[in-house]
Amino acid sequence: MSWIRILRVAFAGGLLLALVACGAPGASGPQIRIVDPWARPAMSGGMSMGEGHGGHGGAATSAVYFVVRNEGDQPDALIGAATDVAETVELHETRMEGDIAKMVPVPRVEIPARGQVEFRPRGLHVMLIGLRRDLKVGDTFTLTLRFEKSGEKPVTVTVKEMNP
Amino acid sequence: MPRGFWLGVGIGLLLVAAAGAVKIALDARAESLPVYMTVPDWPFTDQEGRTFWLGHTRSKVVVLGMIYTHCPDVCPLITARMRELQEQVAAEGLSDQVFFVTITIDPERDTPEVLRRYARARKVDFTNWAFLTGDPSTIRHLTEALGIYTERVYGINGTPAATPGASAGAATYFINHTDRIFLVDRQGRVRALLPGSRTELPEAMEKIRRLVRERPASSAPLPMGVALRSSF
Repeated sequence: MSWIRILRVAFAGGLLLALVACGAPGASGPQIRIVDPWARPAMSGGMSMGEGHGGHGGAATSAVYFVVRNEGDQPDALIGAATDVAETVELHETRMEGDIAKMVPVPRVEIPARGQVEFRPRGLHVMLIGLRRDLKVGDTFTLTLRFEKSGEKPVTVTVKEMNP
Repeated sequence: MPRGFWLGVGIGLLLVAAAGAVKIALDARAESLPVYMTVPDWPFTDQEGRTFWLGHTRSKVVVLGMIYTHCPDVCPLITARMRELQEQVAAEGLSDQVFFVTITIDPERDTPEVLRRYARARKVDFTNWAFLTGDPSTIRHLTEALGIYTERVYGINGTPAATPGASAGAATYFINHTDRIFLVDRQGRVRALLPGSRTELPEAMEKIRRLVRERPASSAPLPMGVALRSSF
């Protein structure tokens, strides 16, 4: 066997190994799954909505909750969200300081590798500000979550009664 | 039987009766809930736009919560807890003894119409529940009287801002606030502080039943001679 042939075989073998490694399960970075997305019912708000368009403080609100599961071996981060049913969408967290509930905007939420983060009442939530329509029990709408590595993940959100 | 025997029996029975009376009195005392403060009798406006004096609820046990309708997370839970209590109160046949009051901490945005829509969206039974707004200074004084902390937080595109003037038009605000539900006795005195959105139904109902069982101190008539049911 000539040296050239040996080198060719070695190169092909190395290439094959690299392809197998890249395609192996669990070695492909974060694998994001969104579980049970739901939102609170809310009224877009007649007078309130009118004041909210471009006005200060009149925008009707709701909140979206879900569980983000990362089944991959690399962490990721939720960095934003968007939907047609609200003018503004922000990531927020309710923090209890004693018996005082404080609303805190959060720029990003880390999702650990092979872990999960729960968005739930009195905790992390996606805030919908300036609802463009009523959210009634049984309604659904699309919310697109934006992850740092995994990109955009559209999910269907169901409007439900509170189930704290 | 010698007369001394019957005398002894009589004294014994008296002692037993006295011990029973003392026990009942001690139990009642142990059962008594503390008095924290008195809810002021100030005028507000209900979800139908009618004047509502808080004093009109005297003679009823009152479940009182303070919320704002633009609160997306904690306030809906406070309202949900109160609605569960309302349903349980009805199930126990106490609806004519217990009244529910929700007062906004955001009167600038929470008009009677907004409150009505908010309550209807949550299937509130208005038979024994009023949603109140009012003059901002009255609301502020009430929060101070009840020890409710409120702090407006202006957010602009996810960034907190100190004042609404930081941006024209695009600002909205949220209110950091105490998460609490009050139980008020028939004399308008706050007798229990429940943990708002985290209120447990059995514990709250146990306190409500105690307050219902308490006799009014002097069966005080309703202020201004107005019957509670007729005023809303």
